Amino acid sequence: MTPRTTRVCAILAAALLLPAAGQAQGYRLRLDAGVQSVRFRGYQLDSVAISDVDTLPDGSLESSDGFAVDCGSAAAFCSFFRPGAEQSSTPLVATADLTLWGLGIRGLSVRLNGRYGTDLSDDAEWPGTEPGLQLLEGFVEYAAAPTWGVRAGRQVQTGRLGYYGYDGGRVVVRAPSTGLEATGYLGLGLARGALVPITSAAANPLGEYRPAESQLVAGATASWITPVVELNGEYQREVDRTSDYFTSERIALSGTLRPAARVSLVGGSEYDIAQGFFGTTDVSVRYTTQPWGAVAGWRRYRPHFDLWTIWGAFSPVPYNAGYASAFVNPIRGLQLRLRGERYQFDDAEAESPLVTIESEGWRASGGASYRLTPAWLMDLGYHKQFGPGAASEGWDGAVTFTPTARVTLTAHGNSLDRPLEYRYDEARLVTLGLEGEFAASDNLRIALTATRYDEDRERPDAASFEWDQLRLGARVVLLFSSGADRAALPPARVRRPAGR
Amino acid sequence: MRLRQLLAAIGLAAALGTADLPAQERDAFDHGEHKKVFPSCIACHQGAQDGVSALLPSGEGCATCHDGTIEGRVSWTPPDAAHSNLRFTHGGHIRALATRDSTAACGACHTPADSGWMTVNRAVTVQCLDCHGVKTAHTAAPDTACATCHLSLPEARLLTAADVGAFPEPESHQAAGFLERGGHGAQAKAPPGAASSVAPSCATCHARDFCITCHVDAPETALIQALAPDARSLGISSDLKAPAGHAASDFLTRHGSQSRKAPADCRTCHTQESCAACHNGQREVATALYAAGPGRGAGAVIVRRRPESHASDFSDVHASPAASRPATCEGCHVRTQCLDCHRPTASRTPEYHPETFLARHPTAAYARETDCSDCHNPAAFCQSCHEQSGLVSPRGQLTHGFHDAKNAFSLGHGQAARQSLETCTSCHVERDCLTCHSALFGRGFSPHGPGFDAERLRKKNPQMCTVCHGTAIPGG
Repeated sequence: MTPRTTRVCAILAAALLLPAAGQAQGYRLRLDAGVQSVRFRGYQLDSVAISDVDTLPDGSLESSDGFAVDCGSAAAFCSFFRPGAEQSSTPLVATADLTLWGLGIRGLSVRLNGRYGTDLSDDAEWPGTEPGLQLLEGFVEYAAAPTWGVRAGRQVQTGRLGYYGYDGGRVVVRAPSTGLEATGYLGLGLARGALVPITSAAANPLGEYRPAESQLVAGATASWITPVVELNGEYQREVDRTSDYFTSERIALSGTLRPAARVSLVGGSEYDIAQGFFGTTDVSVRYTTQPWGAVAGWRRYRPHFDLWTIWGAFSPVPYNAGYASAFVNPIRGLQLRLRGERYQFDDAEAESPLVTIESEGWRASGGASYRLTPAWLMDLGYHKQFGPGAASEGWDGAVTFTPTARVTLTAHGNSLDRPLEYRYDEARLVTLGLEGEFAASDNLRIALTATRYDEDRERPDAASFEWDQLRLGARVVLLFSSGADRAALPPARVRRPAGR
Repeated sequence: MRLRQLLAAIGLAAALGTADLPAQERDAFDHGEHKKVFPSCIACHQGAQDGVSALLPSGEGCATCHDGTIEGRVSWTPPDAAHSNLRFTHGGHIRALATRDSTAACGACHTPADSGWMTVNRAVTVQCLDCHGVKTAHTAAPDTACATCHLSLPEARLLTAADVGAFPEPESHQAAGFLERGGHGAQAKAPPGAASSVAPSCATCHARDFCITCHVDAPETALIQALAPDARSLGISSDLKAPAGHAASDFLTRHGSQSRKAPADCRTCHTQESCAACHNGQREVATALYAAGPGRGAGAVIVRRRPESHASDFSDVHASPAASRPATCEGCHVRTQCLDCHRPTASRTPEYHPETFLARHPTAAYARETDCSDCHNPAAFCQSCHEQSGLVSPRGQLTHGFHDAKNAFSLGHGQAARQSLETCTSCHVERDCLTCHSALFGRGFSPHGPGFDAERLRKKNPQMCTVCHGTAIPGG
């Protein structure tokens, strides 16, 4: 038995034993394990002596074996990217999500959410599987009264400023009769969008400049919630513990106003105190009824970079977008959807005399869902977009058959045309797939997937290729519960073929 | 003539004994076919008169005629004991009507008006009501009248659940508001001075088991407890219907405050478990309700559905509403569901993105269709995959060749970089850019553009400045 296999077995065994350990308490444990068999094909950087490069009639350069090359200025060698070798991977990810309560102290609970990932194949190391064991959340919470609560351990702060993990403590104070709530937290922050500290090698595969220590994070939120108005304000700062300088300092405000039934006005904005500008901001108005609904909004997107990088000094510019979407259910079981967005970047104030760069773009999509019978659901979608750097167009469709409440079978297909700006690469992709989900019981669900990819990379040089592959996947979800919690929860998300 | 009428009456009485039982379940005897044979009811139904003999004849008497010669042989046996909830004896009714023609007395109940001899029905209800002075339709009779003819359900021991299921539904049950406060609950209270606290009109058809199919608060409701338990009452099925107020467009938004103000209204139909169907992360919201258990109904089974605000594109725009009311989200969603997307796993098939998104993601990423870094760490997620695929500059050595469709791309990349800097950083590290954009070495091209506030950044974190400027930070 290999060390990796031993680790997998040990973790699974520990997870299975946890319910027994908590028999005298209330507990809920969800084990979720998934494995895929995938192949992928990247690029291989290569070079050729400039003396071996041919100049084509249109002025472009090509190696003697037909690859488009880039020679830079006064270089002895020219570079090019040839198609990489086909690689196989079999990533396995298992997640254990445990909540314990009834620990003898009213209001005390424990939460653990961990993930183990590994690549079972020998060919390649699937990205994101190091470190193998990752803790998403692990905290103790005490909330005996509705007016206050505390939490300590690894946890996630959610809000307008993003999804932010940290190791530390949080205090919540509420005035339930007024809808007011305030939160304060302090701890050592994790890398954004990751489960590891910023100092982890996994968060820095290319060896960027990084702080020597995890940043100190402190923040506060205040919210006021009524049936008509919801307001939430946030403040967060991160400090480099080595230098005591800020790595970020931001505030944000979000709100929802419901002036009338079915109408809501939603908006929010971030302000980067450290860099002195407004970040991502949006406002939208929504009207929704059962037969139809519509949304119109404006948003401004601006990326956020921490001050331990120099990227902020490169002055990334935001874009402003107006968008609208609507759906209508003209007859029972049928829904038609449309969405469109047009956006334009602020002036980048960068001269590009030799290259034409788009500064605006648009996106549009439409689709229809039809539930023929309670057991049959059909989806069809179309999307197209064009903008700086890239464009794409494609169809997607799915037919879902649910013969019983416990079985779901889906056949889906997609087509995609994907021309990219800045490089020769016009890919055409067609996929066909089957999915099957079986709920053997309220506590056990099994899913199997198989998808065939046919890809055609069209280029005017030797780097063009065609290849196909079959991706297989399997997933098992096990739920253990003391019975004090509800076992058979419906999914929170609705699957749909289109998405971003 | 009198004998014929009596026989007919007794035949009708026999039918009355099987009142409310579907005809196909009884052994068929066609009275009309035999109307020339029998002059009276009593010959066959002696028990209706004396109360001692059998109410129905044995099959042996049939052979008198059906001997194979006069008529073909038949096989007939009397049906089983009557499935009835009637508070009724034939003897009593015969005696009450004895001063009149006995055959006519049978026909008074069993023969519709203006019908011929040996037209035998079950008891003709309207004739029963007429005799007993009830001036309304049968199922609209006042509470004081029901017990005159009918036993309560637990007393009617011979009825089966199927019999109970075949009871006619009173018109009152279709009235608006019948299921709501002031409806059937108020009507179920017996009039003052009644023997039972439950109105006989309810107890005739229903027992406690029936009430428990809907009433979560059955153990705490005296009126329900006053009814005897009887599983046969489940022969009548009842669908729990949502009150009209639940259809209001803002019901989901407001039901929390409503439940806090009047929890008793909710716990008639809802257990703690029905709250947990959605509020799986906030079990404390259900503490005012009863937990499911013996003696009380399962309550309204909640089918979790998306609020109207969660239209088809909601997942794309949920950031702002989620940020403005995280507590509201937590009403239905547990943190794990957020983490499924916001901390994506490597092996799972995509859930937020479509199946082919990997091939499509350059388009979305270049123009930042959504904020990728909300869920993905650009280094741990993007760079590690791009590195595996050979899509990164080798450790700070800026190479040419990838942007091959644009001759001299590097000379004109400024606009593209400022518009999609996050995309650049998925393949490039700072050292790539410092090859040219550094005041200390390289070519000294300034990267600073619109909105760059050097003074502010220097105050907040001068270390960033030293990467390019060393200790000679301009303005420092």
